[in-house]
Amino acid sequence: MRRVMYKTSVAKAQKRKKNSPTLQAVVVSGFFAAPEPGRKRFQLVMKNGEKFPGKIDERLIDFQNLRKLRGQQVTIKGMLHFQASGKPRLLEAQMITLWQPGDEAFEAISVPLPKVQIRAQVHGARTDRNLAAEIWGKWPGNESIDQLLDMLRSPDTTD
Amino acid sequence: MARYLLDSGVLLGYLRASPFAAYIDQHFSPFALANITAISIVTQGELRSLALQLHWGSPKQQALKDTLLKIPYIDINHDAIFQKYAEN
Repeated sequence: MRRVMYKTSVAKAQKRKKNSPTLQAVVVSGFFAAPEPGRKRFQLVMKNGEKFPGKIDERLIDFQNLRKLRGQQVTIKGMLHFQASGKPRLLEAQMITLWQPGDEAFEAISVPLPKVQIRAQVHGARTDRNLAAEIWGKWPGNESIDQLLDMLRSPDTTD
Repeated sequence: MARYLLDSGVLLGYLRASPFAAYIDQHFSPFALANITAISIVTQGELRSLALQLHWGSPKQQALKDTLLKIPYIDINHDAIFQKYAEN
């Protein structure tokens, strides 16, 4: 069977890909399920029943130590990979800890919608060990910290 | 192991490499692997609003968005957040 892709479809797909993030840092809580013993994969089952496939960052987590977490409610810090459509594809865990009171705030994943035109340009492996360094001094403008804090306190007073 | 929700001022301090952010980083290490640190969706909005108020062009706005993507953000409309806020 021959498939024809029209120009408009290609343009639409390209636009959607351009406007979708590929990687987003997340913190998320749910039930930890490791349905495939021996494989370094897991599933995170959210409170609403939604399931996210996940894998661990082996440089940071020893999978053997995670067996005791099976079925437990956990909080995971990591990177969320997206499909070109903007839907979450894979959760890469960098740190997994038992859920604790207050972690209810992490029971839903906040992801940017494709229409807000956010596109990640994060390349290569990244861990939180150097996140402070990655954002340190990365404000793209020349405004002083005092000027920025003033703007925060009294918005709409620029110019 | 600690959980931190950074406000807009503190995040700006990091982004602007300010002395108070250096103090916070040295004493609390919010971005250490063992700690969980996020920002709120309000902080995302406030910083992006600053970019608009400063009339930045697309490249600078995109640079800011890319940096913000590296930090987890959450919806703060949550009882657990209100409770922590009230306690402090």
